[in-house]
Amino acid sequence: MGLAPAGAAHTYQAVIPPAALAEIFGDTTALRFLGLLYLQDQAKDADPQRLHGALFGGSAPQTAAQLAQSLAARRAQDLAAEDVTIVGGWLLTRGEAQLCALVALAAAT
Amino acid sequence: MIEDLRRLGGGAPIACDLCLIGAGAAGITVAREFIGSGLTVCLVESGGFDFDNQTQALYAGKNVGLPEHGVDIGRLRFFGGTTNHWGGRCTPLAPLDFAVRPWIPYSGWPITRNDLDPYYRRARDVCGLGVPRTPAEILSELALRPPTLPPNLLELKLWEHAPYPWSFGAVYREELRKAADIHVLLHANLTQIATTTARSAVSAITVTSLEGASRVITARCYVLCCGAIENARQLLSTADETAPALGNGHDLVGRFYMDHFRGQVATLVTADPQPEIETVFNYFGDPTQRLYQTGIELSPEAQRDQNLLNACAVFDYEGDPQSGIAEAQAIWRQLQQGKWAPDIGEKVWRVLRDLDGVAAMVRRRLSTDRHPLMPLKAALIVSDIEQAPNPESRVTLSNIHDALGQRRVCVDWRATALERRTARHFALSIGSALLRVGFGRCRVEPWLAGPPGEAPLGLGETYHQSGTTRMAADPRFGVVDADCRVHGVENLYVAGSSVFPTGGHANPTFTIVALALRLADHLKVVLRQFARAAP
Repeated sequence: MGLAPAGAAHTYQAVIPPAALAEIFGDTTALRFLGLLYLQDQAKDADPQRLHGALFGGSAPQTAAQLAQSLAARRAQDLAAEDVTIVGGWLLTRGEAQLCALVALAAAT
Repeated sequence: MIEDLRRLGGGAPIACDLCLIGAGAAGITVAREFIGSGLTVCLVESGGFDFDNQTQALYAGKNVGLPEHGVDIGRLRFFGGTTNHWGGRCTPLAPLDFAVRPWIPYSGWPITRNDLDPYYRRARDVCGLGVPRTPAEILSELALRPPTLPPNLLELKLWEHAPYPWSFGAVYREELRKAADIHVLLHANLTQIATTTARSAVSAITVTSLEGASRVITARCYVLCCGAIENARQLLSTADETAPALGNGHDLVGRFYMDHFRGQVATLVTADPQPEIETVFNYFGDPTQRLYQTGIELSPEAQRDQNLLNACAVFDYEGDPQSGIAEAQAIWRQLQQGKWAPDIGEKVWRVLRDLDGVAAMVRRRLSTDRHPLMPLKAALIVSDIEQAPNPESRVTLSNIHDALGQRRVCVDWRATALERRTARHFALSIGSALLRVGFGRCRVEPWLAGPPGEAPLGLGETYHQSGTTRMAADPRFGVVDADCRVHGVENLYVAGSSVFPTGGHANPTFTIVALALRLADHLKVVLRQFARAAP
């Protein structure tokens, strides 16, 4: 689908340990699927560095607990700001959609 | 007194003080107000006490607008009118519904909610609602604890229901039969409205049965109470080669035809086997058998801030939870370059559930072996969206004639971009609110998922026809004035939802009854003035 910039996987894998993702989500196929759908409409988000910054700021989660805490905080913030989007028909918060996009970008390279 | 024109046959004109044309919610309500008043009323009704196909066929017409519209569906043409299949949901229009809203062209009533409040209180008895109680009192009695909705965006909506069934024809038939000053004439179809030479007043009407019996009725005042489509039809039928139709000096009769747009805007899916949402948004009965329904409405602040129409939503718990999965599978098939498993739909649902679990800080190791796909529960989110007034949405006359020689209607029901924008905003707001309180995840209907303007309006009609003889103080902008009198015709009035300039999201019958009570008060004053002036 021509979405992933070169080098994206290296950056991504360095900041979200796959084990943390796997512990929370198990199979990440659906995250990738939703991420690709999101990126079809939001080409500006096809930048892993930008997505990572938007999701985690300067503190990269290292464990599943840290990742979950970070995602939960971002979701609460998005819902308070009404920052939601529709991906494949499903209503996702912006942060949820960006997480999916980050996973899709990593897998595409 | 109740008579049947077919048996009464032709003869001398019937004279009365007030002639009401149409025995539905409006006509029956006005008539009842004159029982024992010393004034005589003739209430004419096209049908009899029961549905019959020949009479109903007089409503048939042509639809040239939105394909969801059924011209003769929803309306009933016999004693009691459309209340013969009324669902009974009662709520007043909101104060903002009456206001001029600059973001909605042609909005604004010449009266306010305060003007109508005394009549809403009286309408409660007419609709069988009993003693009024505040929403807080009702919620307390029902032991409901609704979730906190985003302030200034969404509000809890509570509807009261009339006892079911509550056909005005059945409920008030005996009362009208016993009333000496009310003359109900069945099988009497309005076939002519005669006017004075200057067309400034109605001089008589003619009613005719399908079998050919005919009578002239003379009255001091006349009220059309035939419903939004038929009121326009009857007025438009008064045009001739030399003059426009009564009330149509500014080409407004039949224009601004409205309904509420109703349909599914989203599906809420949850893995909770006993979803909490069902205990909050649902139908509830109190110990006295009174029925209530709870839902969500768009707040006045959100309407103002986002330039939206009014809207409400209820929940229907018979949805198909698998439909989202099927949709994801369909999307998968379209992703030509993806190498996705055929079970991608189920995987999507699982990850969405896990995202919800993350929000609750519940971390689990997930695998098909250890965590089988849960049974899903679904709730359809069904919304009623206000229709923006639109002069191009209209009722006109076709060149096809009915069994009585009257031209049939042609209905061109049209939406604007504002209804879709309102529906999308409302669906996303509800989805966000329900996600926040942990009730589940929403899948938005495909017609709302794309950017504005991309898909047509995916909602249908509710049979809440209105707007075709809209109320306005200035005859350039409306057919009737604030007293429901046709501009330029001193003794012709219109009752019913055809006078609504805008319709909010409220079911119209409760407001039709309130306006009919207000009109009855006005007519008593007018008719007594006539009586005093008479020699």
